[in-house]
Amino acid sequence: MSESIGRMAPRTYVVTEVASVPRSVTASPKTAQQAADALKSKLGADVVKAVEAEQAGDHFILVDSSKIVDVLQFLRDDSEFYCSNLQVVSATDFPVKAENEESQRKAFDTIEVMYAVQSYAHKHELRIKVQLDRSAPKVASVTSLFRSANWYERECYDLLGIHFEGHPNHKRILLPPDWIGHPLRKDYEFPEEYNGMKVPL
Amino acid sequence: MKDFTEPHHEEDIGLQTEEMTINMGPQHPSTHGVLRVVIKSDGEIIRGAYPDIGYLHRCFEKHTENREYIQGIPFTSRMDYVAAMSQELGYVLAIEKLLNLEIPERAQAIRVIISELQRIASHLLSIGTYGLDMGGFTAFLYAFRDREKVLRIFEEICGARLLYNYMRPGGVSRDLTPGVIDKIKDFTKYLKPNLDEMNDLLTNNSIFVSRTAHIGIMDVNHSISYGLSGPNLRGSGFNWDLRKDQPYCGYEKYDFDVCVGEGERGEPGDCWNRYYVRMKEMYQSLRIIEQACESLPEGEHTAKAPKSPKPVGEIYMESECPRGTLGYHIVADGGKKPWRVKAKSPCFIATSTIDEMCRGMMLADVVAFLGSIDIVLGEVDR
Amino acid sequence: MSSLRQYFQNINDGVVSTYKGMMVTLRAFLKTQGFRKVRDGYDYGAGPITISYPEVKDDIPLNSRNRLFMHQEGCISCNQCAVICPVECITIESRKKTAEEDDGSKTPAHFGSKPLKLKLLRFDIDEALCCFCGLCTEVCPTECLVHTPEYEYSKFDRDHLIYDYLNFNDDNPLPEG
Repeated sequence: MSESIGRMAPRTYVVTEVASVPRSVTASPKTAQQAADALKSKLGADVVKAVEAEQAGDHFILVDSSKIVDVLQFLRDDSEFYCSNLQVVSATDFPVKAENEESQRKAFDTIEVMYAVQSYAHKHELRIKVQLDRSAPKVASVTSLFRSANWYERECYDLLGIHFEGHPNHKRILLPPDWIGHPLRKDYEFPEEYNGMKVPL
Repeated sequence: MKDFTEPHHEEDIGLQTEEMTINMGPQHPSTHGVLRVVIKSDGEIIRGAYPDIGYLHRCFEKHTENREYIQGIPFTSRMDYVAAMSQELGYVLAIEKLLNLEIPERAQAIRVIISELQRIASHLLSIGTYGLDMGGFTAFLYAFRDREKVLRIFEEICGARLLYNYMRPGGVSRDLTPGVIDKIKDFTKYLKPNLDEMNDLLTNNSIFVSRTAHIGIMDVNHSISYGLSGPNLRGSGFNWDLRKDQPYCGYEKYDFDVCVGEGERGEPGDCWNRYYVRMKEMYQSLRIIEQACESLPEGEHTAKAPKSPKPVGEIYMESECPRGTLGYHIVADGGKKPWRVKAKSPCFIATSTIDEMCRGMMLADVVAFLGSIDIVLGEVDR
Repeated sequence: MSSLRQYFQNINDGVVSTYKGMMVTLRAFLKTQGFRKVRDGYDYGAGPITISYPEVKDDIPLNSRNRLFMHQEGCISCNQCAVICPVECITIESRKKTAEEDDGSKTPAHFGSKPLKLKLLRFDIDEALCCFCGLCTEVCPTECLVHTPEYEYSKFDRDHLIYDYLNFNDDNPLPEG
């Protein structure tokens, strides 16, 4: 088709850091333990707090919450890992153990944020977790590294009340902007009414 | 050729111009659901497009925390109601990994057939509505005529046309009867000439090409940084398909090609290539269905799984749904009800690209872009 | 290529693609009249695809999950359906049978001949809430709760959709079986 008819005006957008994905890398997947060792050697021994590996399911690397940006930047740019895809940022609320509770969970009185990163070049997936103070949860935003973190972190703020420092657009996303409360917390009470309308239960 | 992005002050002396704020409101025939886009435009050129979601938020994650695992399966169907089998499959795969279940081969083959039929139905809907948005009503009706056949096959299999509740941890809830398998084989012969017809109607049509080629170009590095997946990522030329690279459900046994946008028209990463990847994927899905029906093994349709499973652990598992990679993060505490279920929906991320991609476009191209990223608001808002 | 050549190439592309599209619709029209109904070895059948509902109705499969029906004589008040329902649309009230009511009766043979130990007082299903998932029919031990293929039961008032299955009375006739 005609180039001059089809082509539209050039786009203008704000360019932030975007990592380039290497194509010619021989794939060598790494395990969570190898990632934890590499993180410790590069960023200091106190970065990695634990590697949870004894349960069914995935292996998680528990990381110091003040160093999360450095950790994810290392995993994104280092040639051994090349984790360029942030799959999800998912947060979970773990309140203090209740009296009659029978669950087998291992975390208490914290809010955990899980970052799942994946490498297209090496074909491995890593899961990084941070644990935050439940009364005032805050952590640095990783929007400067991954653009997908923008909306994921907004959703975590909206539903759980985590404050992401340095987020460019720190607003609610799913709920109306004047909603009170963070619904996915375990101690959330449903409001009786919203703007004069009764809330059905 | 004038550069349309620059304001022409020297010709507009005495004319006061300012940016308009237009609401492409939640009720709109082309937004594929209740999506509100606040558009700031300088005449026809867009300076900013801010998507506003949450109109279809039905608290899926809070509901699943209060219900057992099996009761949560109808809720997962209702997220992306257009491709409900794939949503259920993702949830059930995550539970099975936590329970360490061994799935029988017949159940895996049935799941592959059902997933690929669902992929065809979902792509037919997306291509049909995309043709409708671009102005071609015929493609829409033909796509729905063919999708109707798939829905009737599903109705014979599990009893429901749109929201199935068919997948269970361990396998599927009912076996396929021989009559249904004959109908599926008949369907593959029925669909191929019809797909060629849809190709004739849309793919090389000069109006369709001039409306979609060179629009909304996403290059590979931006797509990966945005976390796009599925046909949106493959339309930019990047070869990544979970069915080949991290196979599940026995996909490694079947021979099919991964469809990547190559730029026969336009350039890789534009709306036309994302559309064409979906069109080519339907042909590959027919190949997989034919192979799976030929080699359907005998055996059980489900493994021995507890009626009310009680897994322990935490997992994030991804699967390839027609719109991208759907992921479920399940935190299980050993009880009958999960502690937390988070669904990572590919459409959520695709909607977040609207802001950056729509700057510099004309107003009519926003409709073309929204149709090409193929969002379903049920999955965006959950 | 030069812009004059491009100009004529554009005209050619436009005409050819429009012609192909028109031929597709012409073939579909000829199919409704009975010509050109076999394409690539598959017989698509003559006539239009549209059926004129409501005079002509489509056959739906027998295991189609539409409105529920409960056979009263087969219910043993086990409450499994109310427990498994994801949206809690089933309301059941029952009590233990008194000494003179307890006569060792059982459900009929096609419902499994299970002993009836409880007296069923109330069994309501709110069909407006029901999500037609079929979980309740899967767990019913006597299979007295079934999905019927009945889908034309609209009412003008939402409260009329709460079906009391102990005194079942609906304007729409129930299908046989």
